[in-house]
Amino acid sequence: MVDSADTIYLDNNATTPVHPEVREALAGVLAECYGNPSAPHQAGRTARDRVQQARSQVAGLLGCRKGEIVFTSGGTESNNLAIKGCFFAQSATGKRHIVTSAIEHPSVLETCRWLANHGAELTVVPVDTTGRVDVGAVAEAIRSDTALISLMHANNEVGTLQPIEETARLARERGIVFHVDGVQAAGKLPVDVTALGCDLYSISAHKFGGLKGTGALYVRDGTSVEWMQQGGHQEGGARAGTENVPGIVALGAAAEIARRDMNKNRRSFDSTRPVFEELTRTLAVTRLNGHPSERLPNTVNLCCLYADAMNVVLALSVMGIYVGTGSACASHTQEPSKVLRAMGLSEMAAYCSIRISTHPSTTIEQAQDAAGKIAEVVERVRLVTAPEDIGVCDENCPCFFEDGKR
Amino acid sequence: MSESPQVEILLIRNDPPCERCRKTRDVLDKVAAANSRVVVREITVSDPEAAQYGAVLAPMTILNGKVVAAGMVPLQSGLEELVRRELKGE
Repeated sequence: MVDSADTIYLDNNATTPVHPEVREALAGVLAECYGNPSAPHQAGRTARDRVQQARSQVAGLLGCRKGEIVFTSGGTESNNLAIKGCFFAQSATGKRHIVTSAIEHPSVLETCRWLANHGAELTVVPVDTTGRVDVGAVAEAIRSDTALISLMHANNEVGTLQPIEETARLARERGIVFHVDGVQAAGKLPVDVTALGCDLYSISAHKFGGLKGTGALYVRDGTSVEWMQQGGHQEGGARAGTENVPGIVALGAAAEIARRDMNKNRRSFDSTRPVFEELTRTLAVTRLNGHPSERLPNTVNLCCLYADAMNVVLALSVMGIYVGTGSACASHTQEPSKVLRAMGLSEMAAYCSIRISTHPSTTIEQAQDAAGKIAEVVERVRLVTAPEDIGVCDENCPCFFEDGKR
Repeated sequence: MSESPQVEILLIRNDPPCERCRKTRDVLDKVAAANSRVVVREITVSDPEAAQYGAVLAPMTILNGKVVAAGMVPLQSGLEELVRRELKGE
């Protein structure tokens, strides 16, 4: 997405611009749809109808019934609700064990760790060097008291897709609830939660053209969840609080647009991604982080060894190119990415990794322009950087290259 | 009449300057001492001008408007090479 003639925004896994058609839908709601959906009068009824319309639109994107959608404040709340709600629904029966992976978003991992301080037992399964979970490792982690398996559909930093269908089959065979954090996949990939076979699926509106502060959780009919937010009877009692009508309408519109444009967007992603992948061949000591094929179509995470990512990102920013250093939730901490470290990258390699995530509107010309500037900046940063100032490399690091000398 | 400077190296430093800020300034002074067409200018992170370079990670070294190092001391040899390229218009 281009904000102006001078900038190219390539940080769409962090957030996306609001889709122009969503803005249009939103303008009408902000001007006219001010009623409280719980109110019995016509203003309330109008608002309720718009919320229900959005529920149908989201259900259409995910391939479920509209009664299985709970609106939330975003991906983080959806993940919290799914994990805590599922845990507390089962903990009284003695099921207190949770299985998750090492590369989950903080809203999953930190929620699981919080539960571990409140009676849960946690198993964090590792990933391979491409960021993929081994279903066999999940199977080995399962115990008789396992209440929940929680995995992400697509990783936010490297884009690697997880074996969701296989894990869902495993969970079903063992009678375990399966939650999928679909925040990065929804809107970019076709998602059919029924076909996937999961019980809970989290999405976030602003990752595909909606507003920040809105999300949803798919809860398969019959899934036992202890609702976490008490108060009124909104969302059928699942999530108390007056509905965020503008945000929900925007989410519904974004869901419908994403579903409508899915194939067109995929063709766009497929045309621009190779432009950035080519940097692994044209730039010295540069490799792709993530799975070579089982990956989000808009995501290219590059380890440009000896070029500190924060330097690269700031230098590109001044040139009007916006890329990420990792997840937006972690990039301000200046700690090496936990995802990349879990994949086996050394501290140095993790510090030298940038994330490029395109938008359906990103053109090939913009991708080529940006790729050229990335190459220029990486080369410049390498010239002035002492490797020992970046971080430590180690012998287990897959960042090693045969021609890995500066 | 002296030749007009053609390369400006801007240092954005912490206030008061940290150890790395001081070391960076030393490197920049050496680069400038070796080439009369280089001038060094210094501002603090709270200077409004610093905001245009995004999240400021001091010390930041900016060569003719291009960020070349953030949060670390640049190598003198690399900086001299970049100065040479700037003067050649590369």
